[in-house]
Amino acid sequence: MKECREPSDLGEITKSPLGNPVRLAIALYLLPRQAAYFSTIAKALGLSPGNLRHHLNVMLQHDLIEEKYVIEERPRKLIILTMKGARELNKVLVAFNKLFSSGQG
Amino acid sequence: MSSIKDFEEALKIVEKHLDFARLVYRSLPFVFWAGVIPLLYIVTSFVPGVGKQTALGLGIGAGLALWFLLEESTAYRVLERLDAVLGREVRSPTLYTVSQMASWIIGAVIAYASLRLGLPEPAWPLVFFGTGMGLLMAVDKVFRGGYDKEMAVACVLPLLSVFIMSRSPLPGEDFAVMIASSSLALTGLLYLRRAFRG
Repeated sequence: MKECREPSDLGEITKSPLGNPVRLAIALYLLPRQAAYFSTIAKALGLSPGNLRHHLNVMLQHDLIEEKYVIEERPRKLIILTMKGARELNKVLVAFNKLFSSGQG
Repeated sequence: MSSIKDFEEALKIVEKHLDFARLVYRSLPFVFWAGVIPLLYIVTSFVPGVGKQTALGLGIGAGLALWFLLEESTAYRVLERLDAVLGREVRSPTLYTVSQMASWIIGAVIAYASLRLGLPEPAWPLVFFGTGMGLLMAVDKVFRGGYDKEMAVACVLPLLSVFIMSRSPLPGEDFAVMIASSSLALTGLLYLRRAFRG
């Protein structure tokens, strides 16, 4: 049976704004894409606009993403993961990996 | 605890997906130049006079390189982020970019010097590509701690071809363009193959 034995790694995850599974999913969705529309993210991750707005606001506060308005047939919001967001994602994924590898054996 | 096992599995899948995206993005410039170089060569071949051909080729080539850099700058940013998440972030990005550009300048200088040393003129693109790619690999080794082995094809193939160039029945320029283009295409293919094989 695998157990989580490293409280420091767990702390790293819970302290991070990407420790929340929804925000982690948003970051992972944005990462390989150059940018994504608000509505596209909501649809892809099955989130209500209000819920997505809340999580994006948290990510914006921590500079993990940036938002840009584009004018097409109507104004739309483009969401882009920042370099800081990528580094934070790396921190969380490394902590997750350590957590599980330390629990082996 | 199956949920932990599931999570571990999910992490592996995430990493695989990110690595897939990284390799596909890495293949883009190779595929682009593999297609563009022969086209450029054909377009310039309609211009009379070798000097004019070279000047036009260099002009269009530089323009295309600039356009490609602007067009793909967003893709480059994504690649930068993917590298960061996968723990392959470059420590000094500006110095890294400058070193990459310097690699091509040094490649051109070496190609020019090799002509001075008596290498046949049509061989210069091969020396330029081969040394340029070799230096890019060295830059990757210094700044990233390693290089993608796929790049070795675009380095070794043009350089080795210099030695068999004189034995080919093809005109020198045609031979050089075909080798340069196919080595870049092969490099792109190897990146994509690694991406799809996981």
